[in-house]
Amino acid sequence: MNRNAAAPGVHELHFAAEAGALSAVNDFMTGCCRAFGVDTDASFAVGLAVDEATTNIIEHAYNGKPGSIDLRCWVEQSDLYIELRDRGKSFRPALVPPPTTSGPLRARRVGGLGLHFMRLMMDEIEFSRDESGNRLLMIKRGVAL
Amino acid sequence: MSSSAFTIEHQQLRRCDLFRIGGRIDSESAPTFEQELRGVLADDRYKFVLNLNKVDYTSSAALRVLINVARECRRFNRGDVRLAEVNDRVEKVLDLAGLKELFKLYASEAEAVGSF
Repeated sequence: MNRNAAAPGVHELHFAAEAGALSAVNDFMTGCCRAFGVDTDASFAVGLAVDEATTNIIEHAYNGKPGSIDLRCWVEQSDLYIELRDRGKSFRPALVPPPTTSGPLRARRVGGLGLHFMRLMMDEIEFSRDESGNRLLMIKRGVAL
Repeated sequence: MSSSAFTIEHQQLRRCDLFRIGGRIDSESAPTFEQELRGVLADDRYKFVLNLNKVDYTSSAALRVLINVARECRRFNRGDVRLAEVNDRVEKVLDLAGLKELFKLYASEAEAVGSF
């Protein structure tokens, strides 16, 4: 796990795509939010979104196989930007059916909850792909000092 | 502030099985969480109280375990999973997933245990 020497104001973490990295990712995001003056409620929301996004990369982009993830965090104006990059297979969010959030327990579909939480916790999420792999950009507006 | 490690303690009571859970329940700890609960299911016991007082974080991975185990417990009306001492953050996550309406939440462990 590496914290890279990033451009000023940009926090970076490079880590193996495995579930064991999640607590370190959480610690990293807690530190970023503290550094950027993000309050505890917004920090919790951001932490949940990053956890869910990271889990999805591990389980779906890499399908449990070895890989690495680059996480970057910075502020523009008072908006918090979070970027995750991976080299796994491409992801099309439109193909993920939404979870069922009402109705009896026996009928509840549990897939898609992670993406559902990401959309609820962040103001914008954007998936893209280029020659270096997948890019996920998430923005939470007006939370940083 | 660093992440708190997942912990789970199990106590078999006369009315039900009590699990006291702490720390983070995420996709790393969710398999252990599920394994502990399923270990009791395998003994044909289906009445669970989960005391979540010391849980400071849950992700969708925790909710999937909750849903799957609750389905198993509720089959044939043989039991249930009831939640005790749920803090605001965990309650919010349950609510966002539309699960709050599906689980009984109790302010105290004693009330949850006594409900069986």
